[in-house]
Order: sequence, then C-alpha cells, then structure tokens
Amino acid sequence: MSWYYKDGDQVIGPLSKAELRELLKTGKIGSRTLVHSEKDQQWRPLSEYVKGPPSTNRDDGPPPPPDRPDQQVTKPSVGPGEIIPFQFTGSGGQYFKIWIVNILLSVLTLGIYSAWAKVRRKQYFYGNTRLSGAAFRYLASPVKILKGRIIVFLFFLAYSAANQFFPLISPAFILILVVFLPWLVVRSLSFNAHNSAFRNIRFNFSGTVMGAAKAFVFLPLLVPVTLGLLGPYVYFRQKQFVVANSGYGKTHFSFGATAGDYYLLFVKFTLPLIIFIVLAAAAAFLFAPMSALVVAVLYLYAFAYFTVRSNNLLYNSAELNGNGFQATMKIKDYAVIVFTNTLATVLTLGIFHPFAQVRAYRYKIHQLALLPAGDLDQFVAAEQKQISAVGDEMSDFMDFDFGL
Amino acid sequence: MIELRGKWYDGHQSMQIDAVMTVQSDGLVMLKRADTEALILQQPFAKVRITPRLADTARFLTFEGGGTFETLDNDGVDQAQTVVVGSHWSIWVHRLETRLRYIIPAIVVFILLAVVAVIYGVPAAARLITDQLPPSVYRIAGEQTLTVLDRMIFKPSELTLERVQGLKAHLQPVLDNHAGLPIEIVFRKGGKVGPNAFALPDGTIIFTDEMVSIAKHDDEILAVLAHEIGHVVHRHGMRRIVQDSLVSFALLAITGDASGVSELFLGLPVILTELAYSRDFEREADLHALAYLTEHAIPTARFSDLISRIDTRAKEAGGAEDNSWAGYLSTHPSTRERMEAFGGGSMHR
Repeated sequence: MSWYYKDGDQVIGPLSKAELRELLKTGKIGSRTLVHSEKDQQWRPLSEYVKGPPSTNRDDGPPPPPDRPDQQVTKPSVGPGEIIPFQFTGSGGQYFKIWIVNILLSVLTLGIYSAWAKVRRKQYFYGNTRLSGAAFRYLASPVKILKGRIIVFLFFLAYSAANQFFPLISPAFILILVVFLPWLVVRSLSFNAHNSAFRNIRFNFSGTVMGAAKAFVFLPLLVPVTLGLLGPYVYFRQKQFVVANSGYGKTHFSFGATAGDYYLLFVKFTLPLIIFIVLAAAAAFLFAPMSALVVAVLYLYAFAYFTVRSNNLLYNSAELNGNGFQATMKIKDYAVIVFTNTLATVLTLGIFHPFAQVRAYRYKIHQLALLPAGDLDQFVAAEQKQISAVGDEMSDFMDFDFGL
Repeated sequence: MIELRGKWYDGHQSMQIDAVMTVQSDGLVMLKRADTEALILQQPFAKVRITPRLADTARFLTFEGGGTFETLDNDGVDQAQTVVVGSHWSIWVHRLETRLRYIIPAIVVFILLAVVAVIYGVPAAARLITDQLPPSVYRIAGEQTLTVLDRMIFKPSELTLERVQGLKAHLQPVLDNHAGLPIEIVFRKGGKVGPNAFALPDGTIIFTDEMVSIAKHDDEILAVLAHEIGHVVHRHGMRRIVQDSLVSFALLAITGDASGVSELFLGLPVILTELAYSRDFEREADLHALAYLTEHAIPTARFSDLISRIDTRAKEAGGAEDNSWAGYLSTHPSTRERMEAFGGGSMHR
C-alpha cells in the first residue's frame, strides 16, 4: 500500500510504510503531519495511523476512529511502526513551591539541606517524565550527595584560601582540575546514569577515563590548531562518547550519527549566522539603537537553533536495541519559549525561574517519542556498583553539563 | 485494609505487570496480579522502603528482593504508612511544598534574616574569625600579597634616597604613636594604579611614587599614613578576605540548588556587598586618621586636600583610556563626604 504526506501545500509520495517510518524517525515528519493512504482518500494526522498514546496523554489530538485496521490488535504490546510519546505531567506552580521550600530549608540549615533539595528537584522532573504508563525515577541518596558536596566545598575553600594567601600556587588548582577533568566526566555521567531508573531497571555508563580524556581534553586541544575546523568533529566525538557508552540494564545504546551530520549542522548554523551578522552590521550603520536589538535576536536565534538541532540529531541518532527515538523540536517554538522565559525571569527578579525551567523541560519532553522495536518488557537488569557523588558534585559546582 | 493499584516491576526484567497491593491491619502486605489475582509476594509492610511524597509524582515501594511497586495513589500510600509504621519527617516537607500560606510568611522572614545577616552577621563573624587567626597567618598573607603586587603591578621606587629618608623621618612620630603595631613603610612605583597607598594584613604600608609626588606637603602623606594605619588597627585586610569568602561561600552553599538563577543574580549581590563593606572600612580608617590628626594638632584638611587633588586629576583624565586615577576612589566613600568629614571645604584655597 502506498502513502502520501503533506509538506505545506505540497503532496509527497507515493511512499512505502517503511519509508514513512524512516521519515518519522529522522523527524522530517511528525505525529501531526497529514497523511493519507491509497485506500483512505482522506487526510488524517499521522498519529491516527500509528498507535495512539496511552490514555493519560492529554494533548495529542482526537481519539483514533475505531475502523482502522492497524488497531485491531488484542495484545496490549506495541508493534513496529508505532510511536510512544514521552509525557511530562508536572506544572510550574507545583515546582515553584518545591523550589522555594528547597531554598528556604537550605538557608535555614546552612546549606546542609541543599543535598536533599537537589534530590527533590531531580525527583520532581524525573517522576513527572512518563513513558507508556511508567515514571522515570531518580535514586541518588542525599547523604552521598552531601558528602560529595562537602569534599567539593573543601576543595574550593582551599582554592579560595590559596588564592588569597598564596596567589602563586592557585594555578596549580586549575591544573589539578584539568588533569582530573576526564575522571570527573566519567564519574558524573556514571553517577547520574546509575541513579536513573525506568521500570525498576537502572541506566548505566561504561565510558573509560581514557576515552573521556580523548573526547574532552586531547581533541579539544587540537581545535585551535586547526583554526576551529575540527570543532564539529570534536563535538560529535563528545556526544558519541556520552551516548554510545550509556546503557539501560544490560542493553547498550548505539549512536548512528556521523561526523558528517555534525559538520552539516554547523554549516547550516554558520551560514545564516553570517547573513545575520551582515544585516546586524548594516542595521548598526543605519540606526545605532537597532543594533542592540539585532544582536539580541541573533543570540536568541543562534542559541535556539543550536539547542534544537543538536538535541534532535542526538535523539534521532540514538538507538537502544532496535528501539529508536524521535525528537521533533522546532527552532521557532523553542526560541519563543526561551525568549519569554528570559524576559519573565528578569522582570520578576528570578521568581519566574522555576516556571521557566518547567516550560522548557516540558517542551523538550513533549517533542520526544520512542519508536519501539517490540514491547518494552525484555530489558534485563545489569549488576550494580556503588559510585560516589564527588565527580557529579564537582561538575555541578563548576556548572559542567555532560549529559543529554 | 488499604488497597492500592499500580504496576509491579520485579527488578530483574523490565516487564510491566498491573498489580494490586493490599495492606492488612496486621501490617502484612499482599501483592497480586490485577488480571489473574495470582499472589506475587507477601511481606511485612515495615520492610517495604517507600519513597517520600513529592507533589503528584508516582511513589515507589521497594520490597525485599528488589522488586518495586509503582503507584500514583499517593493518599493511599500515606494512609498505609501512617496506619502501619507512623509518620515520616518528609511528609512535613511535602506539606510545606503544597501550602502557600506557610511559604509566603517564610519568604518574608527569610528576606529579613538575609538582610540582617549581610549587614550585621557577616561583619561580626569576620571580626570574630580574624581575632582568632595567629600572627603567622597575617605575616604570610602580607608577604604573599606584596610578592604578587611586585610581580604584577609595581616597579621598584624611583624616589631618591634623600626623599625617602626625609619622608620616613617625617612620618616616624606616627609610627612611634602606634608602637604596638608591626608597621613597615615601603615605596613602589605604582604604574597602573597611580597615586595610591595600600595597607597589607601584616602591617606593611605601601606608598606609590605617584602618591608621594602628588602631595604638596609631607603632612598630607602623614595623613594618608594615619588612614592606612587605621586599616591595620582594624585588621581590614584580613576582614575583607574573610567577609568576601563568607558571602560568596554562603551564597554558593545556599543557592547550590537554585541553578540558573545563580548565574543571573549571584554575581551582583556579592559585588554590591563587597563595595559596601569596602566603604565601611574606609570610613573606619578615615575616623582613625581624623582622630590622630586632631590629637596632634595637624590640620585635618591635609587629608581632604590630597583627596580632592586626586579627584580633580581623575576627572581631568576621565576621558583617557587608562584611567589610573579612578582606582583609588571607586572603593572609597564619595570625596565630598570625606571632605566634609575632614573640614576640607573651608580650608581649601
């Protein structure tokens, strides 16, 4: 049977079901794209043909008509060609209260509660992220996080004291950090993966310190030597290191993107940027106050473009034992969210921050879906190991983010 | 008897099983499949580990053996927990997190506390800490700072030996007056920092050549010396180090969780409080100088004359790229305020 889909006013097809799946996987079409088959001459959103989301989903269009042949399956498991959307069930108002209590209790306990605060924040975002009737779970122990925080705190206290009393040896601390950076990367990713679970099976991370050293220290050192030309490749290697070393139970993620994909992403990013910069220069020449506005728009566009494209590419290239992902973030939507979030956060002196966090996170999650290869019942738990929180707390403290 | 509906995961495989959990009044938990009602396991409720309540997110009840029951029935779980094992402290956190009527007064109290802590708490704590530090810490801090300043900013003084000796002789009475303090006067070519004077924690006081040459009377240098000694007497160097560290570390420890806001708002309060503390120190040092000058019948306007001269030069150089004149002034109280304190207005020629 052949299929057709609508891209704006254009009708594209005929395509086989497999081709349609491939397009869906690459994010070229989404669940709201209008499609029709040879048999059924009516345009319908794609979501009506693929298996609908579980009943908890609220915003994905009307329920599918009962007469679709694809739906006549008695087994509750999902079959090929179906998508399962990720959902986020939290709200800004709810998170605001958690956030403010976190800050208050942290202050009253002189920072000790901040470890519990971190766990509650993470648990809120994980626990409200749901897939096929199950929630994600953040399992880290607050006591471990507190121990990690104390070690990091002492390290920076020593650094701060050295800065005041022995300014000449303070660069040694920076050197220590650079030497330990690969270890930090691995520890941080391991800690986070190990403490994330879904359906009572934990995630894990198996990257080596040597691998991290290559991707995060040695290769970046070559970027200035090659006048930045190696940049996209290094970025690709870092993402590959993170994804390909991640696992869910005994199953490993694979990363299908190539360096070429990332070069394409950077080229598509750079060309409009150059045009924009020329425009900005022209605007500044014609009317000076305009240039500030143009620079702001430029920055927003660049940030949104990069986040969206890089996020989509990463998820659409990740695979877990035949299970694919589909990320369909749009630059325009995301830019609007980031812009209004920033504006509101500044205008409310930071009070809007928790609402902003929820908005951005919800958008990301709602644009993410799983393309399952079969049912999700077959993943097997791996052996567990204990990981200290020092690496993760250090990365937190320095505002590093290696995760997805 | 309490009945909860949810999903069962055995912990070995990702299989999802619809399950019903019943908690009996004797504290025994029975877990059954929802479809066939076959018993999955039974255990005493006291051995089940339950995650704290957090908004409307799912609760995870982990049984011995690693299996987990996941349910959205938060009230049911709370009820079972209270009936069988008693209340858990985390339920209070949840109550706080869901009731704005507790939160809003708490925020107001918190802001008041924060203001009091910054205005009174931090300076008091810093004074307490600096009083406890052994003299060796002051010596090390002073020596290290001078080494760095010499390497990064200063050049050797270009003043003639006679000038230095004459000046030192003129300043000697001030030092004699503070015999208990390890004051040592040194001269350096200031370069980038222009006319300036520094008091290091160990009692070393640095005058830049530029400061010496902008002075029209040696008593003006003497007034500056009295001011700098004020810094040493009140241990301002060390107090500044301790206060700045206290403020930034307190903010980091507290807002460790408020990620995002920190970048936007952390820098500003730290800088503002540092500047405010710095001006407080200058006022304290000014008072010291004022007292000394009055006591020894030296016109207090010597000090304000010098300051207003630096101020004028700074304004003249205002447009210049390298405004070395502004450095001495930015961390100090306004020149007008200080001139009034030293009666400079009337003595001015």
